[in-house]
Amino acid sequence: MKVCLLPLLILLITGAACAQSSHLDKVYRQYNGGNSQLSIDPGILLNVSFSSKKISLLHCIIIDGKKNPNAAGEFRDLEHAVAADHFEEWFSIRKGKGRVAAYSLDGPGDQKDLVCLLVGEDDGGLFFHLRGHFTAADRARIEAALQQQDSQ
Amino acid sequence: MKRIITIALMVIAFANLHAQDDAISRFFGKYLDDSRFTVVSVSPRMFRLMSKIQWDSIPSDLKQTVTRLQSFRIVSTETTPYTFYKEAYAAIDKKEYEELITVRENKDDFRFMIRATGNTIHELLMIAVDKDGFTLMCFVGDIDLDKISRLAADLDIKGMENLKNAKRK
Repeated sequence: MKVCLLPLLILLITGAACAQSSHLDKVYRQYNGGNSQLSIDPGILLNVSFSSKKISLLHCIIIDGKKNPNAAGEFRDLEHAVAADHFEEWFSIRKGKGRVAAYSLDGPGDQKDLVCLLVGEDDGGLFFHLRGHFTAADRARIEAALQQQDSQ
Repeated sequence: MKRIITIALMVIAFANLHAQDDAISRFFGKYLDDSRFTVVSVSPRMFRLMSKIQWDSIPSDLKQTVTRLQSFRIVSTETTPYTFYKEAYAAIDKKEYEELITVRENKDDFRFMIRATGNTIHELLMIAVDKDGFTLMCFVGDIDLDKISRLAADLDIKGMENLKNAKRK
């Protein structure tokens, strides 16, 4: 029994680690014209993968709610994907249909994912996903810059 | 077998830790996605991040107050405020939440309730109603009433001025 339990636990942990960002990636693949007929005409999709050491990935999706009748559904899919990928919420503010939220996910090593979502009353809005590799020294530099700005 | 039971107990304990939500999600959770309500939510992660930053312009005692907070949430609506107030007040478990202050004027009502163990306050709940709206606000963490009232005054949160001179019995 002991012999079975340990490999099972290792398998579960490995599976959970490999599953990171898979739901969001699936949504991005739809936008990139994978196996879906999802139209992105009214919006702008900026999808950049950087080769820099710090920022490794950037996705920015802007959807015009007046031109895209399914804008609300698309933002809902993105929010579900964020939740399914176990992003941790920083804060959220919602009034009526409009909302603002920020999330983050700690990846393997020094990898961090940051997601920001802004949706207006007309269901249009912006979704922003940044993945970077920030070491403790980088974080200290960011904190120092924030403190410097605060003291000025 | 003992090991399996230990692991099972650990999983249950971990699940329970995550289940310890604030009063808003426990008693009023169904309205969190309702478009009639305005919802502001600051998560434990945000408070952890704030505690790491050395803001120079914030007084040290206020900074300490913020670092001891775990989460903060406001739910408010202008739609049928008195109906929602009645529903929310009835839903709160009075055995668990001790009433701290009640301010009543005609139909308007402000109540502050706390969940505490001994001298430590874990949760402060404000439930308020007037003709303009209904508000439910919740702080979770290690709470100092005096400092929370200062923080709330700085944030200009309506009704929190009533907390200024609150003392537990």
